[in-house]
Amino acid sequence: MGELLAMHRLLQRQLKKLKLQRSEAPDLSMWAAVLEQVDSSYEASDQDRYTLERALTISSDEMQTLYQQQKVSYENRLQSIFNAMPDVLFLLTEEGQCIEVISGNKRLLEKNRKLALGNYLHDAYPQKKADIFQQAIKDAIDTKQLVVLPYELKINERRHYFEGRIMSSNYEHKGKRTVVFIAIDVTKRVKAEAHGSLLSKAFESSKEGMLILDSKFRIVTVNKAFCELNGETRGSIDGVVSNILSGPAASDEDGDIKSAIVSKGRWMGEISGHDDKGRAYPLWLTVNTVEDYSENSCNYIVMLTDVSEIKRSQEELIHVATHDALTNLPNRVLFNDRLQQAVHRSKRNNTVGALFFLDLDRFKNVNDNLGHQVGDELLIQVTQRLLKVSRSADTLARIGGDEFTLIIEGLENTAELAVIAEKILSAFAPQFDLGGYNLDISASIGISVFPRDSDDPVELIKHADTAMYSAKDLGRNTFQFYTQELTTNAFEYFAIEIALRKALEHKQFFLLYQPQYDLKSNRIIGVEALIRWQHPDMGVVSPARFIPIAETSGQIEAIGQWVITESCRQCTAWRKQDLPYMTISINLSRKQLVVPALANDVRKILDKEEVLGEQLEFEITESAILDNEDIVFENLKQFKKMGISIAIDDFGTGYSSLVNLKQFPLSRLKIDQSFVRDVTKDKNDEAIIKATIALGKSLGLKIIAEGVEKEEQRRFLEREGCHQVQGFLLSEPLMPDEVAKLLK
Amino acid sequence: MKLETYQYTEKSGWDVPPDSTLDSVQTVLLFFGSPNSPAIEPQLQALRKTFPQSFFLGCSSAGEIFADDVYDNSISLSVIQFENTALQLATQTISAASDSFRAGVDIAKSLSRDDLCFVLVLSDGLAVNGSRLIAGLAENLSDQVIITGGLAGDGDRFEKTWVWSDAGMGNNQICAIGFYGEYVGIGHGSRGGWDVLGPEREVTRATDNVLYELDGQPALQLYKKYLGDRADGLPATGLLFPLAIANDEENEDVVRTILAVNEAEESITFAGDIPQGSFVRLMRANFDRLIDGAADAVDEIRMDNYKKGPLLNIAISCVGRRLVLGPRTAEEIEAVLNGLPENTKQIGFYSYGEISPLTDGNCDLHNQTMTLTLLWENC
Repeated sequence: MGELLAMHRLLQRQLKKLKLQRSEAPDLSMWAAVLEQVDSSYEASDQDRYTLERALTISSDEMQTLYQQQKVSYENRLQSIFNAMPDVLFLLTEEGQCIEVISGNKRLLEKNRKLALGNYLHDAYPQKKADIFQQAIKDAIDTKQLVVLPYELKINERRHYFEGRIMSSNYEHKGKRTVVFIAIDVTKRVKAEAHGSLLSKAFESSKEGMLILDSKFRIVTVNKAFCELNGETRGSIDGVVSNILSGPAASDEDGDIKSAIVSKGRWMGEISGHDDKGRAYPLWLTVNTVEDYSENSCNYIVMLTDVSEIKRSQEELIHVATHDALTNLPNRVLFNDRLQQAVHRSKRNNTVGALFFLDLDRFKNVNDNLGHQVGDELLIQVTQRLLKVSRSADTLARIGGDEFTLIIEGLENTAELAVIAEKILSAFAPQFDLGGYNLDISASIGISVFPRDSDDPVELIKHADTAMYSAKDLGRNTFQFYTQELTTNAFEYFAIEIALRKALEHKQFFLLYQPQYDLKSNRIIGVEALIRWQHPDMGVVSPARFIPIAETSGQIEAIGQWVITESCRQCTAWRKQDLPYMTISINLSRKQLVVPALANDVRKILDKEEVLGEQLEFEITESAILDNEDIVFENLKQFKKMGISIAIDDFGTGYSSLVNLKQFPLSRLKIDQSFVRDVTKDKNDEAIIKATIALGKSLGLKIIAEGVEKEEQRRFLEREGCHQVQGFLLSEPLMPDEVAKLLK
Repeated sequence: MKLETYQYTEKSGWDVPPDSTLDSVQTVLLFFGSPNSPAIEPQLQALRKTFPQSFFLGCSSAGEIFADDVYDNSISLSVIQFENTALQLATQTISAASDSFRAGVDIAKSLSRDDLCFVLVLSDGLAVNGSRLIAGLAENLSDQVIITGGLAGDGDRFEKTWVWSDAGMGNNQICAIGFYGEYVGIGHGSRGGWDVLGPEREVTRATDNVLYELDGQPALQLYKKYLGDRADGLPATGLLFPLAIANDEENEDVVRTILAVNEAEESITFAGDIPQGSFVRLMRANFDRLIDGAADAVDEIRMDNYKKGPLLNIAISCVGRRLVLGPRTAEEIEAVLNGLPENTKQIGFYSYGEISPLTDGNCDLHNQTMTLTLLWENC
């Protein structure tokens, strides 16, 4: 039987238990025992196998069920994640074959449907695009890093933008490496970025200066135009608190601009900008608040527009609307406005104004016969001449074809109006040279005076118009006041003016002298020279009538000089008669005082007439020194040098300031006769006189009172310590020989 | 130390009459016998008379191990006479499983001494909650004290077990013997060798060692499904599919043996606790791995301080293993003995629960394992 085979351990043990040798066959009884053992082993083995197999089957089923349950649950979970995924996820092999597509976004999935399951990139996309994808896949696999690939797809004729995110995956598909390709639709973002970029460009290239501030008015950003408008460089101002809003708001109740913005949320208005040379120019500022509710804060959007051009054209527009195109004079619109304002002012300031209504005589003939062009040229030349004779403060306007108006304001009396009217008329005297035609053109003027004639502009125009027609009726080339009295006065004015011109030449002036007394000694200390005019027809004309005319017609200088000369001559004459020493007071007009040559002229006269300065006193009005002109001051200084005393005439009627009084080399104050007249009846006048005396004394000046007509007046003055007096109570103005007689 | 092992069988009587000259106060008679007490009790009573001074410790089994084989209706006896090792016996009787912990505590207290180094405990296999008993013991003894032992068996009947105490053979008893001094040497090892079967299941209802539901389903139904025809053999056949409790902390599964079933409640009683909320898996036998497992248990034994002299290996294996291995049971016993030194003598039994330290040193109740305790005395 050869070598025995290895025996199963169980069988070995069974044989051993039965004390049998494997090399010897057992006897029959033992054989039965062997079989029984082996049989029971087989039985047990079968049973065990059955149990085990059954258990394995059950376990397998259980595992399978569990696996299915978990798979379903896992898939459900995965699906719900995928459903929520806004992007498309592809699983691609390294060869670009799509082996899985997942997305919760059905529409996006539809957009990407070209790359369907099983397809290759090259099937789905044009060669060039597929190559790019393929390269990105390769890069992702090689580098094991995320590759981001932006790309575009044209879907339904519309451009869509995607961001591809490609990652290599651990999963192998049939031996091929794979990548996860996530396609994110970034169309909205790209469009928003493009939109943002457009806005940013618009912001940057805007001609308006734009500025964005945070809630604390710190600069967040500015555009180029803003920097240009403000001469700033961009980097230097970021984060800085802007001072552009520090100015005052237009309306007082708003405070400054900032507080207006904070309280009202917005503000607009004009502010001043400065160019690099420091010149101011107008800027229109608009500020709006943009609330950020989430941040609970806000931004201010500031827009700045250079409105100098607009303003200029606006002004031009206003100019065109308010001015006559031909003459560039104010038109009726502006004229009406100016007249209204002038009337208003005259009422408020208690001054006199006048409206001149001027119409060219027979202008129609010029137009009709020589044509409109000549007519227009004439109007231009008339305008030029009118502008020459009118003051800059006056308003000259053209309100109709050949109708001009002139508004004059701030007059103290109406006498000047006639002079102005005469000046205008004389401006027409020279012939007009109109392109070969030499024409004599005259004008008729109607004058209404406000507020005397009316304080209603419409009425004033009507009145001036009426007056103008009166002038036409009177034969043209003349003027008429709406009030006849004024016309009369005006013409009388001219009569006097003309007569005055001849008065000196015809030696119609003469001087009277009113003695001045020392109150204590009751002796004559001097005389005041008073001019009189003996006209052959008008008789003796009061200085009150002719002096203003002499002043306005420029004759005062010559007359004044005659007075000084004559006074000096008389002084010498009296001296030669051995009369006691006394001073002669001479009135100087303000118009004389502003002539620089005055002092020199006076010196010449003194020399010529051999009179010492100490014998003269110049009386000047308060208003003469009120202007405080250098020339006046200089003249007075020169007089003082010559020994001439200076007295303030009519003291108390003007507005002297103590500063002025102290400043000038004065020696005497003359209390105006108006105060003296009522001194015993009017407490105010008494007070003024007392104050004047006190003031004069404190300044070391002599005080003289004029117009003393009654004894009680004299006594009052004496009691109050006035030094000197003059007046009818003591002596009326006298002829020189009477003075001599009195003194003798 | 002097060591002799003897076998008594009903058919042949004692193989060699036990040597009564070994009787001393430092002698212990350790024996495992058939649960059929009437047959063997007289033999044990006779021994008691022959060894009046010696300590007696023994229990019923589900198979008595003697040398390299397993027997039924027999007694496996070892007589160990120590030279330098003191011994002390402690016995507790319990009336309900809930007394298990307290019994453990009392035994520990009665044995506790500074020089106590080893406690061998044998307990009733059905009336006691082994987990609680060991918890009570271990918590009241020094960590240095090695505890091994087992729960008495009743063949594959699961009806009645006995433990021998001073008072004699009795139910509901727990008996332990303490070994004192530095001369006694102890080695131990414990291995399973089962494979997991089926999915992990959650213990959805359990109280102590009674399991009601797994994954919301009656536990008994699950077992019946797996056992098929062999469900008739419950609870014994339940041992074919022991339950492994996942133990996250120890990273070491604990296996539980079925002791009883309750058809009305559809519950199963295990030899140790089944914590509610824990995760368990069924296990299945793999012959080769069971036998290899037994051999591996030998490898775990540390004999560093063993010099020379007799060696006694006390092999306590689980009734479930015997049930599965069937006629091949002896192979695991053989495998164990083959792995030990040649002069090793071996007795042991198939139990309803094995007691030995875990690899981390803490004592625990095991099921479905081969648990080894190697005993010697250095001179």
